[in-house]
This record gives sequence, structure tokens and C-alpha cells, in this order.
Amino acid sequence: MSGAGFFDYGTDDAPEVRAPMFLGDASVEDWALLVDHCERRRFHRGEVVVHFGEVDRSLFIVIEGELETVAERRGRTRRLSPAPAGSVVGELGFLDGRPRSASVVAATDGELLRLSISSFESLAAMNPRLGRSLLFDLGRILAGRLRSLTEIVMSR
Amino acid sequence: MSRTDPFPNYLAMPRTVSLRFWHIVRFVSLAVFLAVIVGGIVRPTDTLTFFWGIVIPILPAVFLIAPGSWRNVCPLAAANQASRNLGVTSQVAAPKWLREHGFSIAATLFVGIALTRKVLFNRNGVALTVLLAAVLVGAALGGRFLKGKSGWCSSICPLLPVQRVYGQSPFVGVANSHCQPCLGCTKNCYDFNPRVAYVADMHDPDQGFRGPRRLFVGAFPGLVLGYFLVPDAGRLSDVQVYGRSLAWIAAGIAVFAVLDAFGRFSPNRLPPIFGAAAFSLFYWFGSRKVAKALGSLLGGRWTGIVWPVRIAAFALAAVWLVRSWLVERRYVEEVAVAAPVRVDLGRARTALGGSAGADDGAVEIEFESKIVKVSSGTTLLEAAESGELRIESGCRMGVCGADPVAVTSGYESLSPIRREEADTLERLGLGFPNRMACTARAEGSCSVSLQPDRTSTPLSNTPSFEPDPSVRRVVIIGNGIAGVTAADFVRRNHPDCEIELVGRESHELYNRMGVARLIHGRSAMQGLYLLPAGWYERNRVTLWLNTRVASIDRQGKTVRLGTGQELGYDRLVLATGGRATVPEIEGFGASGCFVLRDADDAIRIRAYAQEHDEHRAVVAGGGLLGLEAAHALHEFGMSVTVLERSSRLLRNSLDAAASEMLRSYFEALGIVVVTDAETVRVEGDGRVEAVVTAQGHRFETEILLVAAGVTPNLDLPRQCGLDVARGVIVDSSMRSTDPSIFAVGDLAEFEGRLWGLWPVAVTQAQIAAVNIAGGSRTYESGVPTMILKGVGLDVVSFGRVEPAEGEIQLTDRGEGGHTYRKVVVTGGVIVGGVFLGFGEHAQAAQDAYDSGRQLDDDEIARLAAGDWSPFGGRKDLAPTR
Repeated sequence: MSGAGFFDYGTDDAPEVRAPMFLGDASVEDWALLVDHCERRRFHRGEVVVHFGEVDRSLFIVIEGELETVAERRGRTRRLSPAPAGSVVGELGFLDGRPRSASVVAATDGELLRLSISSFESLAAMNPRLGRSLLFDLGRILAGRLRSLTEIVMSR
Repeated sequence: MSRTDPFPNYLAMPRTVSLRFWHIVRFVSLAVFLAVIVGGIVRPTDTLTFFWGIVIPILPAVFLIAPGSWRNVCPLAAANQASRNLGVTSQVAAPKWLREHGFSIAATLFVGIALTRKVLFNRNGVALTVLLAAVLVGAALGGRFLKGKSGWCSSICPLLPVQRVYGQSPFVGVANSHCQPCLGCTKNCYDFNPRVAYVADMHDPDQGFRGPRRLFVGAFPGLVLGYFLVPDAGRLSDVQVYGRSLAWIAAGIAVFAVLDAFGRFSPNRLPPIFGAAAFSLFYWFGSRKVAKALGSLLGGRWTGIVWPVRIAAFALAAVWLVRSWLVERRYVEEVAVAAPVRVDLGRARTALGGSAGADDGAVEIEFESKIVKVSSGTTLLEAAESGELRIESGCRMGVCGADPVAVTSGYESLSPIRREEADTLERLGLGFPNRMACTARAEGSCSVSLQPDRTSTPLSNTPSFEPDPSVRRVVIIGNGIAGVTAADFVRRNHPDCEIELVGRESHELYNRMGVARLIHGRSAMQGLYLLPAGWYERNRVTLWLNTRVASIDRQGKTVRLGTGQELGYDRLVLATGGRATVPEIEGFGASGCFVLRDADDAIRIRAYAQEHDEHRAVVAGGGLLGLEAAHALHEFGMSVTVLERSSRLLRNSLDAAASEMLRSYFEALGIVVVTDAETVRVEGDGRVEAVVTAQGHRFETEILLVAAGVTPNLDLPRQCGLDVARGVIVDSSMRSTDPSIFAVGDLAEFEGRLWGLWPVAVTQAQIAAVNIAGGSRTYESGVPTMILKGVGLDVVSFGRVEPAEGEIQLTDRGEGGHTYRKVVVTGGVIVGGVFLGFGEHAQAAQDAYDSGRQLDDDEIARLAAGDWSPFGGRKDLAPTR
């Protein structure tokens, strides 16, 4: 399990501590194509961007401001994790199409990109290389999480 | 922010004390340190007592309670950072060996110095002076050459291992006051993020990194115990002192290793226990030494402090232990549940066109509650779709009427209304401020309501001619767009006549171009209807749904319905369209064979696929409808194969390059496209099992959908003796060979052509209606625009797509190989074009084509160079070559 995310020094040449990048190899042109396939929308503080339990196969990229994942358990809202600008959110529902496992709420005003699965399909058809790296990156992220969880289970 | 970050880094930590304060304290501590160095020689006894008896025993408590304060005031850190503050540091990145083994060096130094205290440093002032001077010089040199704190404080400082163990869950957080700014010199930097650094070390996936740190904490209590329990040198030889101390250390390590091996502990469960043990043991024994040191320096008895110190240390260690465990739990939740996934915002923002939020190429469209930001020139339909708003779409060219919206503000910032759109708005009875979303392009920000404003005054242009009084009764056969448009325009131009509209299907006018969506969409017919409620009544059109026309009596000017009723007419419009063509396919008709023409066809396909849980489909026909159907079946979740008879897709509308790209786009979606494949036979016993082509290939499938074009419904015109070739032959006024009978839409043949396209039907119906009502308008044939929509890649072609002699073509392939733009130009005028993607350019080029606009030489030169700015759009993303 890597805690590298807590040590984002903001420098260009920080040694071996960068958090895993999503679409790290994508060029500006790739991003332009991606943006073309995305809904771009603003959110306002307190707005619920993703509702727990809804079925919505899409992926979110926070461009500005901050979202946070929250879980409700026994009537109490628990904040799970922040998603500041530059974060990717919602990959589970995007990949498996099952109901959302948590809600996502806007912690500040901001802006996001939303990529629906059908837009992704046409994006991937138009630029298979980009589609492939997007899926690989998501796979890498999920693999990392699974490793972490395995480690937790093993260490209990 | 509504949430507190559990692990803020020092930049995010509150700064209660100013940087200047820390500078002053640092000078004081450096002065004390220098005094000790001098004192070691000048007044060795007191200095040794003061240093080992007072200063050193305070440090563990400081490390445990407020480690950040020590990081800020440590005299060695001041020496280390002096070069940076003076601007003389070389700032070299630490070499690999130092990065990898710095901790081990520090830990070895610490253990070495601690053990040597008994034999040397505790007793010899000069040795202490040399030791302190050496570390001071070492710290200063490290800072002179190496970047940030990587030359001492965060690598080989002998106290660092202790600080990291004790400082893992500070009671008081003190922000780092040295590194301004952070240079990112150290992995899991303690000064950067003190609350998480140690637990991150313990969880580090690299055993080589984690291992020495765990070894140290395992050794720590043994080291402390050994220090206090092994007798001083004098009673033992030096070798014995070292040997016994090392034995204690080894014993500690052994306990740690055993517990680590057999206990199923998370990585940072044991280390805090060992840290807390070391801390408690240190003060258990150390308190007596401090009391002694105080007595010898200040006089008097200080033994009274021993038990309070022991109890306080024990309590502190216990609370600290629990806090450290909680930190780990929180860390695991943060890291495991949501390892932050980051994107390169710089590139994303460049792609978005400048910094987000202040975007000059973008316009904001406010749809009631939702604001969608799009680039200038985007249609309201595209904007609404990108915002995932519920909006219907159909032709995407303003003629079908599926997507009327009301513009509540910013109406003037939309592109002007073209004729098709104006006609559609009129048919819908809508005027200002309504627009058709698919043809209104936002050039500035505006607010839009997805509900059209029905209170608006229609644009209605009053007819420029007197209605023909001899026309009293008009009968229209066909309730598709041709029939309804004819009824609409007859009524507009002739307020008094009776209009009877007879439709075979049981639906009111719906968007036939959207029927493929019925296969995969969830909302069935909802949203597919195109007319506002009460449209027929309001326009006094008598509607006969689910009604067939049995025959036409031209002499008696009557139409006999299948129900037996007869309708008399002065003018008759045939708008019965066509039906799906089914070529000779042996075995067609088995269960699982379908065509796609009407809404009911699509509904049947969806029902069948669900009922039989089918997963494979073959679409015979790679034309517009076939491709739309294939995409719809793919979206439904089937694996789809398209069999196209000719050598390429959309052969009549696309050039070879565009055709090939379209094919590879479909294949990239996962739809198999086979060309030169003519479907000739269905295999299966009552149910489709496979289809076979003339070329002899066999494709296993459970569903066969034939999309081989449209055959005009010519039974009625033949029965009543009109001239019929491939369709009903009409003149330019849309009259058949009987002057009282008009034919429009898919069954009308003008100058030998039948188009089978929606916009053609609309135009022809309008012309026929004007001529019926007493006006005069004629139809001019041209090559209509072909649009393939709903497949994720908009394909548009118009005019001549292959240049004739003397004409030039300007082509450009977009990145990724699936977008393409091409115009054919002769004498500066556009005579045709093909676009895959590039929607805005397609529209602009089509406008130029429709209006015959002359391109100047500069524009042509730019297009030839791959710069399509003459057709608008963002120049910064134009391909460079």
C-alpha cells in the first residue's frame, strides 16, 4: 500500500513519490478528444453530484474545486475521502454499471468533466490507443486498491 | 472546506507562530549548542551533567509531544539550513546510496553514540566537544552540498530514527518553518507531513525501505534497557559494555521479530508498542538520573520528581500508543478506500482552452437548474446531451421537430434561424423565443428551457396568395412526416378547406429517424412523438389512425377506406411512403427475422431479444438505417455483424477514405463489418440459426435484421392507374399524372430519383400543399444532405463527394484516424463535402454550399494547409504540420 499521495511535494523532480497518474501519457490532443466526449459542468458547494444507489455509468474528473465521497451509515454521514481538483471519481460504477456505492458531494464550488460509458465507447472507437490507456489506468488503480485491501485483510 | 484533512501537510497546517520567532529561537539554541561545545573543554564536569542529565532527557518528551518544534529549533538543523539561507548551497540531489541507506547510517550512528556514552562521552568533556563539533560540521556540510534537508536532517542525523518513532502522532502539530518552499528532497518526508510519515514508512511496499526502520524500532527498547541495566565502564571492560548492550538490543529485536512473525498485526501495530515501551523505560530509569543531575547542578534534593515523571511518562506513552494506532487505522482507510487518482490538470486545462473557469472560447448554457459549459458554436442539442439532460433528437438538422426549446435569455447570441428550422417551428406552432435545439448554435451564453414556450406567437408568414375556393376537401393518405407536413401547409395556406388524414399505423406522427433507439432505449415511444397534444384538432385535421385505404376512385374522386367508409376529395395527396425492402433471402420469415422501418418493428426486435435472451445479431445492409440499427443492437448488448453487399459502407454518400474510416470506427466499437457479403439464405429450423452469403460464408446468429432500403408503397397508385415507374412519377409541382392527385415523400419519383430521406419529404410536402391551396411553387432536385447520427460519430455528406474534372478537393484527417473533413471546390465554390466528426465545420461548410458562398484564395490556401478556421472553430486545436 502506498501513501505517496500524502507526499505530493508539488515539485517536478520529487524522487519516486508521485501518486499514480491517470492518463499520464495523454497529450493535449488526447485531452481535447476526451473533453469533446465529456459533459463539462459546474457544481456548487453542498450539491450532491452522485447519489448513493443510483445507476449511472460515468466517470468524473474534478477540474476545479473539491468533491468528497461520503457514506451514510445508520443515519450518520461519514466522509470517506476528499477528491480535490485533478481527482478521478466514480470508476467503480463506470466499470461495472452497478448502483453507486457511495454519494459524492461538492465540498466547494467547482467544475468537473463527466464521461458516460457510451461516450467512452465512441471515444475508444475513435482513438483506441487512448481508450486502451484509459482502461489500463483504471485497471491499475483498481489493482492498487485490491492489493491494499488484500494487505489489510492479510494483516488482520 | 467542510472537511478537515486528517493528514494535512505543513503547507496546510495552521501557523500559530511566525517564521521570525523560529529564527530567533534557532539562534538561541545554536548559541547554547556552541556553549556546550566550548564548555566540554572549559568546564567539563558541569557541561557533561547539563548535557547528558538535563538536555538529552528532555528531548524524547519533546519528540513525543511536539516533534515539529524540535525540527524548527534544532541547532544542527539551523547549521544544515544555513547554506540555503545564505544562498550558497549547491542543492545537489542526494546520491542513490544516501537515499537508500541514509536511515541505516543514522540508526547505526545513534546506536554507536548511545553505546559509546558509557565508555567515553558520559565522562570525557573533550570527547563530547569533538562529537558535537563533528555533527555540527557534518550537518553544515550536508546542507552546503545537498538539496533541502537531504544532507543531514532527513537522512543521516543520528536523532532522526528516534524522532520518527516518537513523532508519529504528535500531540501538538507544529508546521515546518525551514523549507520555504519544499524541494521534495526526501521520501515520506517527516517535515512535510508529520502525522502520516511514519505510518507511511511502515506501510511502504519496499521491504528494503521498510525493513531497517522496523529493525530500529524493534531494537529500541532493548537499547534503552541495556543502557540503564548494563553497568558503566570501570566495573566492566569496554568490550563487555558493548557486548552486553548489544545483547540487550538483540533481545529486543528477537521479541519484535517473534511477535511480528506470529501475531497477525497490521504493519504499524507493533512499532508504537515498542516505541511506547522505549519511552516509558527511558523515563523510568532516566528520571533518577535527571534528579541526580539537577541536584548536582542546582543543589538540594530532587528525588521527589522521580515518580511524577515516571507516571506522567507512562500515561503519555499509553495515550500516544492508542493515538498512533488510530492514525494507522485512519491512514488505511484513506489509502485503501480511495488512493487518490490524479490527472495532469495542466494538459486537461489546456485542452479545455485556458484555465478552467476563465475560459474565453467557452459559452455557458443554463438549462433551468444545470449550467453546461461548451465551446462556442455548439448546438443547444449537443450542449443538452453533454449535460445528460432529457432531450429528444431526430434528424439533427432542424426538420423533424423533435427538440424544440425556449430560449429565456440570450436569444440574440444564437445562430440565425434557417428556413428548415423556421418551417419546423411553424409546424409546431412555435415562435419567438423558441428554437430547434439541433440547429441553434450558441455563440454566446444563454438560458434555455427544455419546455418550449407554447404561449408564443407563431412566426407564421401569411400566405402571399388567395386560397383556391374550388378546393373544399383535401384527403391525405399517410401519417408520416410527408403527410403531416402536407396537412400542416395546406391548413396554413387554406384556412377553410376540410382535411382528412388517413394513417396505417396506430401512432400519431413520431420521429421515424429515432426508431433505432427503441431497440436499446428504456423509454419506448415516450419522447418519440413529434406533435404537441391537440395539434390535429387545432388545425382541424380529421385523423384516421390504424386505417387502410382500400381503393381510390379517380372518376368519382373518392377514397374507399378498409372500414367501408368513403371520403370524397378535391385534391388527394399520396404520402404512403415505403416499406422495408426484403431482398430474395431463402428462409426469410423464420422466427428471429426482422426488418426495421416502423416503431413497431423496433419494439418487436427489443421484445424478441429479451424473450429469447439472444446475444448475436446480423444486420444485412450497411446503409444509414443498417448502421444505426447495428449500433442500437450493440448498445443493447448484442454482438453484431453487419453484412454489406457492396465493397464499402454508405457507398453512395461517402468517398472511399471516409467509408474506410467509418468501417474501422464501427469495428473499433466491436461491431464486425463484412463487405462484399450478400445475404442469401437463412438456416435454422423455424428459428434463425445462421445466415449464409452468396460468397459462401456462414454467420451463426439468432437474429437477422434486414436493412436493405425502402420499397415505395405503390399498390394504390397502380390500382388507380397513375403513371408509376420505381415510384409515382411527379412533375416539379409534385403532381402525378392525375392533376388532382399529388405524391410526396418516399414514393414520389422526380426526374428518375427517389431519395427516401426525411428532409426531401418535408420539402416536397410543402410544395404540394402550396400548389393545392392555390399557390405556385416548384421543386428543384439537388443532392440532399446525408446524416448518420446516433452512432457516436456524426457523419455528414452533401453534394458531390468525388471531384469531377477540374475540381479540387481539400481533405484533412483528424488525429486517431476516425475523423475526417473534406470539401470539393470548383471555382472557389463548394460543391460537396464529407465530414466525420468536426460537426461545427460540417455545418459551416454546408451553409457555404447551400448559399453558394465564394471562398477567397486565402481561405482556400488555409484549408489546403490544414487550417479549417474559414469554417470557424477553435484554431488552437487545428492540426499542425
